This record gives sequence, C-alpha cells and structure tokens, in this order.
Amino acid sequence: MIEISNLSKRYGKQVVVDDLSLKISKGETFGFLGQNGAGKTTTIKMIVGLTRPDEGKITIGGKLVDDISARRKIGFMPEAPYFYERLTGMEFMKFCGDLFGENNRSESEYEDILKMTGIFDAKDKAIGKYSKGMKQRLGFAQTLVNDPDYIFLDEPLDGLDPLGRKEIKKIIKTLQGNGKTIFFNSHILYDTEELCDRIGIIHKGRLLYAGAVKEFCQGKPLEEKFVELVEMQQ
Amino acid sequence: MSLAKKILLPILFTGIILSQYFYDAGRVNTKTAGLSLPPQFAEHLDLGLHSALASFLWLNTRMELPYLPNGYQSFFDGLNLINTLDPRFAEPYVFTEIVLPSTAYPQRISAAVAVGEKGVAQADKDWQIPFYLAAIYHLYLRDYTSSAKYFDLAAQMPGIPEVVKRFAINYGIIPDIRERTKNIWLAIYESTTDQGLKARAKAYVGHYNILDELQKAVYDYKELYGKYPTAISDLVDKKILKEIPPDPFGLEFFVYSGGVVGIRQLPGQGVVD
Amino acid sequence: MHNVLVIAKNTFKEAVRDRIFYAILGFAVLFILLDLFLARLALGDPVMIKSFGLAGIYIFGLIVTIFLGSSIIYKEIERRTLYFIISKPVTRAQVVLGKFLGLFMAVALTTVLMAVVYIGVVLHETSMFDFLGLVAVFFQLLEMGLIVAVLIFFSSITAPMTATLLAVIMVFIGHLLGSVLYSGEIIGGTTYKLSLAFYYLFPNLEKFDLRNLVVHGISITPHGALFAIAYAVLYSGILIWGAILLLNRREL
Repeated sequence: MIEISNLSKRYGKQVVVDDLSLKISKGETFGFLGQNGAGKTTTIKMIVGLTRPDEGKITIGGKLVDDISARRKIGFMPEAPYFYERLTGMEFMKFCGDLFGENNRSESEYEDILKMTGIFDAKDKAIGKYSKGMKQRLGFAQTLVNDPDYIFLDEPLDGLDPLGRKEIKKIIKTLQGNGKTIFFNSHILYDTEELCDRIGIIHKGRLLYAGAVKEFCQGKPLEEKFVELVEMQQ
Repeated sequence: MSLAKKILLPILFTGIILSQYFYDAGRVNTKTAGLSLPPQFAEHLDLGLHSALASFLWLNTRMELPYLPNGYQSFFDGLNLINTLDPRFAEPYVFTEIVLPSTAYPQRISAAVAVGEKGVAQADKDWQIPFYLAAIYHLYLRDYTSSAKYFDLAAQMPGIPEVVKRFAINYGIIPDIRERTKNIWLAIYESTTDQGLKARAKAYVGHYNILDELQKAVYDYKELYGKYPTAISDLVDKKILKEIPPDPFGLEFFVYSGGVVGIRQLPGQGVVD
Repeated sequence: MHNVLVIAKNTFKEAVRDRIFYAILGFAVLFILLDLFLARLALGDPVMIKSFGLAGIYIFGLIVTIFLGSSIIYKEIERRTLYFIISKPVTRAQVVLGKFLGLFMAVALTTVLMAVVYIGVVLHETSMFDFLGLVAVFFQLLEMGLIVAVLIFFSSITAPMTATLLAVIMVFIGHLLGSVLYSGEIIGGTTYKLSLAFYYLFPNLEKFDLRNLVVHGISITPHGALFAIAYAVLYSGILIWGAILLLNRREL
C-alpha cells in the first residue's frame, strides 16, 4: 500500500502541492489526473524520493520513502525522459539493473522486457538514434528491471502514436494482471478510463476527487466530467 | 556542380592566396617586435611549463644571433628570459659561447664570458659550457689560468668525448702556448657537429701546423747557417723548404727577431700567431 | 562500493564515446608526433624534446579534463538522467563518487595513451627510456584528479560554461600561487596576509609539476612525493564531499 499523508510543497511563495492525502491499495491501478502545472509531477517526484516535501509523509509498503531500501521495490519512469545518448538500449537497461546489485537479472530477461516494450530490435543501437516514441518505451522498460511491486509512471503515453499507446496500455494491463500496484500521471484522459481502478484529480495543488472512475463519471465521458469539475473551481 | 561554380571556386581560392602574397610583399622591412616579455610575466602565465616555454623561445631566439634582424638587444632579452625561465637549460649557453665571439657585437668577448660563467653556475652539467668558456679565455683573453681551470672542469663532466677529455686533461701540461692553442682547435674540430665551426677549427689547425713547420725550418736554418733568417723567403732560397705553404686564412708569415715566426708584431704584445 | 563502480563504468563509457574526445585525443597524439619534428629543430637536444613532449601531454590533458568534466553533473541535472538513478536505491554520495571515478578514468586513459606515444618518441630520438617522464605523468594524474574534483564541485552549482571558466581560472591561479606569495612577502602587511590566505586556500598545483625538473634528470624527493599525494587526496576529498552536500540539498 502507498500512503500519502498531508503532503505539501512550496517553491518560494508558490504552493505546488497543498495538503494532499491519498491511500492506494496493493494491486490497484491509480490514475492521477490534472491540468499541466497542477502538481502531478511534483507529487510523483516526492513519492519516489527525488524531491523532499515541506510537510507530510509518504510510505510505500510500510517503509518511509526517505529510506533508501524502499526504492528496491519501485520502478519510476520520468516524464519525457532524457538518456545517455551514447549508450545502447541494452547497456542502459543493464546499467539500471546493476544499480540493484550484481545479479539482478540475466541478459535474456532484459531482452524479454525490451521485446515486451517493442524496442528489442534497437537494443544495440545508440539511444541518441532513437525516436521519441522509442525513448518513451525505453523509459518504460527500465522501470521493470528490478521486477518492482510498485510502478510509478509520469505521463507514460505522452508522445506515442496510437499503435504505441495501444501497446503500452496492453503492458500495463499485463502488469495489473501480475498484481503490480501502478500509479500514473496523465493529462490525456480518454485513455485513462479503461486502465484505472481509481482516479485522483488534482487542481492547483489540491485534491478535488479521489475514488472509483465510474462513480466520478456517472455515465458521462471522463473528460467531460473533468472539465466540468475544473471549471467549477474558477 | 555547375560550370559557374567550378570556375568560381578556384578563382576565389587563388584570390585568397594572391591577397596574402601581395600583402606580405608590401610589408617592407617592418621591424617585427622581438620577444620582450618581462620574465615574471611569462612565468606567471605559462601554467608552470617553464622548461617547455624556454625551449620554444630558444628555437626563435637563437635565430636572432647570427642573422641580426633586430639587433643584439633583442637576442640578449630573449636569452635572459630563457635563462630565467629555465636556468638549467644548457643549449642556449653553449650556442651563445660558440657563436657570439664571431659576431660583430662590440662587447662580444666579455658578454660571451659572462654567459659562460652563468652557465657553469646554473646549468645542467654539460661539458661544452666550461669547454667553450675555457677556449674563449685562452684564444681571446690569453688568460691561461682561467682557461686551465675551466678545461679541468670540463674534463670532469659526464658525456665529454674521449679525445676532448684527453686534451682537456693535458692542457695545462703542455708548456708551449701555441701548441695548446692548436690543440684547442683540434679538440673543437673533433667534437663539434656545427659545420661552420668545424670548418673554422680545421683552418686554425692547418694554420698552426704551418706555423710549426715554418718554426722548425727556422731552427734548422739556424743550425745550418748559425743565424736566424731575416725573411720567410730565405727558407725557400736556401732550400730548407721547397715552398711556403699557403695559409688557410690567406695571411702572410714573417720572421721576427729571435727567430720567432708569426703573422705580425704588435708593440708591447709580442708576436701574434 | 558496487553502485559507485556501476556509475563510474557508465560515466566512463559515455565520456570516451564523445566524438570530441576522439578529436582532442587525435590532436594530442599529433602534437606529440610533432615533437619528432621539433626534435630535428632542436638538433636532438633531449631537454627540448622532453620539454615539448611533456608540455603537450599536460596541455591536452587539461583540455580533455576541463571539457569533459564541466558538463558532467550539470548535464545530469539539466537533462534529468539523474532521475533514473536517484529513484533507485542509490545515494547521492554514490552518484558523485561514481561520476568522479568514471571521469578520472577517462582522463587517465587519454594521459596514458599520450605518455606511451611520448616514451616512444623519446626512445626513438635519444635511445633512452624516459622513466622520470613517467613519474612526471603520474604526478600530472594527481593534478588532473584534483581538477576533476574542482569541476564536479563547480558543476554541481553552476552551468557548464561558468564551471569551465572557473576551472580554467583555478588552474592558472594554481600555478601562480608561489609567485603571489613571493610578491606578498616583499610588499608585506595586509597584502602579505591576503596572499598567504590565498596560498593555502586555493588549490596549489605547482607541487604536481615535475616537468621542469624531470627534463634535467632531477626527480622529486620522497618527502615531496608523500605530501603531494596527501594534498591531492585531501583536497579532492573535501571538494567531493562538498559536491555531495550540494547535491543532497538540491531540488531535483
């Protein structure tokens, strides 16, 4: 379980995350939705330990996220990821995997992950030569190097063509089937509906809604209800 | 590439080369500034690469001495900078000692001696520094005490060629100054790689050999006729010698009172050879 | 420890595959071969041949170090490659140490390659194996290590351009400090105290410069060697520690 309690973050005078509290159960797929600049990325960065909150605390599987060992069981995909241009895809996977210890995975296991994310053919090409879509997939692939229980994805479908989005959604569904807990940010709403068990909606740092998708939508498309909610805040 | 481009490109390129050429041709005898950096300045900026900078500057500075494009001061400034940057760097001292005495610089001998002394004090143990210093003392200053001292010093240094070492050790032992002088030139001839210096040394050795030959002939004449000849030509007339050998320097030989052979007599200084 | 080596290996790979790295290396080898040509001009004077060769290794070593090092940490932060690393069980200390080690290995590789070419040139020209030259290169490596630490420290705070400039200035000052102190002694008073402070605070690089001695066949004393090594290790240590502290505080 992921437990977020009273999380707050300020950059200077600007409040970016405002007293956020959330509970995500094990095995759940949670979609964190909101406009650009609503505070989604800051939140996810605080969960994985990149940024320190000003107030509040976060635990993953009972461990505080400050504890480095909490990161053994998580995978994180940053938004619009940058890479080491001169490494190959496979070298990058091995590099990420090696950070978990000597014998994290075998080469064929990494190959399987690359196959699953559709970039196996480019595994020995320098990342600098990858297209945006390929980089996005590699970013996704490296979240799986340590077979994590908790997977955090920041805009995983961003920059992918329709076929790419379909493939990634398929992978997410497979991971769901394997009992992984998945937390992802998105500002693209129509894809989110079919993936999530529960959603959270954040606007200007404040949580407006957290709960089941169907309850929120009440028969209408998610996007429509979302826009309604946000416009109500203005 | 279109035809126009094919023609245009070479024309432009030629134009560039020609502009450079004519620009250079128009720069008649402009005095290029010599390397006159104050030593402290250079030392501060060279990132500690003193010996490399000294070597580099030396490549430029040494060209200034024989060809005098900028006058002697620029050479001495350069030499001073180099010696300050890397006092142990031996080559500049040696080169200066060899070349300076044959230039037209008014204080060439005292300056060469000063450079040599400095080199003996500061530089790596290079046998050529004391050797040429000693040679200068003997040949130009006739200071046989100092020359003996420095030949001795040179003999003890590592790397001195055998023939030169033997000469240096025996220098003080030979009583005859003229003999010593000839030997100095012989040692220089054997050891130097500088072709100009080698040729000069050869000429000197030849010159002294002739003097020796003539001197011996004069003593033979005295033996035979009971007195010294009055003119060099007497030696040929009286069939002591077949002919007077030509001097490598084209100088004339004379016999002076007491039967001493030489090229001229200076009042108060004796016979010059 | 393990993660440090993983990151070091990664940094090394990324550094040595940079095309500009190859260009600089190529120029460096060219420069040293130029030494052969200069050997002709120098009429075989070993002092001059060695001086130019060792100076070449130094200058190009500096260029490689400063060029590669100034963007190392900043690129990580700016291009968010650090996100991949820090979200895994890796401490920021491991990151900084790994970066330092990887970069130092890249610099060491270039230096060793140039040294090999240099030894070959000197062997060819003077038929002597310049062992003292290798000693000089070893101490150059110490200096480069210290400069890498300086760069890592600076690039944790400022953009690559500024970090480069600061590092270049540091290198010049590092070789000037002796003269500064000497002038300070002559002037006296507050100037002297100031120059003394500078002398001890700024990275003092003169002690790693054996070139001027080695070309004349003189080596460093064991006493000098010991303290030079200690200085390099301690000063680099402080800078790396500082970089770690800065990274710990930094908002990613």
